[in-house]
Amino acid sequence: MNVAVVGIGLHRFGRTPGVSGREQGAVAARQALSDAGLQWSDMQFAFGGSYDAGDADSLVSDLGLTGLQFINVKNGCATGGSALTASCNAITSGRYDLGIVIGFDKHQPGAFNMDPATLGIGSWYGESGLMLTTQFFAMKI
Amino acid sequence: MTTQPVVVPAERPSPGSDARLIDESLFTSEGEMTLRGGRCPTCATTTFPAQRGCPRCGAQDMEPVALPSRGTLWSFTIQNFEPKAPYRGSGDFEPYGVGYIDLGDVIVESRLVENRPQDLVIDAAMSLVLVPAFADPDGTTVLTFAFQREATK
Repeated sequence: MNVAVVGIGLHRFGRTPGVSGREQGAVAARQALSDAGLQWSDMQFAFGGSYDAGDADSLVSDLGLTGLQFINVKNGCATGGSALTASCNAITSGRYDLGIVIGFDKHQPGAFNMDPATLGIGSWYGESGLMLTTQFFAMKI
Repeated sequence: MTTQPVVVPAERPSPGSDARLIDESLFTSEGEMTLRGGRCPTCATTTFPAQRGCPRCGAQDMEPVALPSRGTLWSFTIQNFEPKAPYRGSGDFEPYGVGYIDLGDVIVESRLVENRPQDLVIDAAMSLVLVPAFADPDGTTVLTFAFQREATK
């Protein structure tokens, strides 16, 4: 079975003062629906996620309480890809025909500052200055 | 080179001193103090810090192992600005080196004493020391492990 992307939407990338990441997610979702010529009520399921800008499933408050199954995905930088993978699996399973994948985020300026406990590492790792973006994106790759 | 005091070679703070280790579980508790890793009795995979499950074969009975105190520099960078919390500084920020040390059976991520790129070179011989990471509210100096380049002969 082939699975196709039938519509896409994107809020312009940028700092965008005064507009939350979550609001930008709603803009992108409406654009994607428009691009596909579909309504939110046509969506049978949703997968989506955000690291810092709220719970993706709360977008039903803006887009419509249609009762669709909306599953939050939280997988860091891979959240979009993971949500897309989950959606493809949902369709190829035969359970659904049509759904939406929504990702959005908005971070504070500067480096990330995760708690090492989220990775199962002791607090010493962050306190001593090893929890660094530089080593995630340079030395380890 | 950092201006902070360095404990060479690494040794346990004496009882009653005004210093402590950042986390006792990172270090061997007997004999020469080195880093405490874990070794899988099934497939010999070695980790630092020690952990219960083996990341290669999934065995659940990894055993503590004293890691060598000397190795070679595998990669490095310099942290030139103060990280956000949970980093705990010790007053005025001073850039510090971060690198990976190849200890033979495992590559360990560590602070480096050197904090200028021109003082570091990949494959350089490095040895274990302790450096002050921050101070507790009562003034106790908290020491963490670091590696320092060995003097060239």
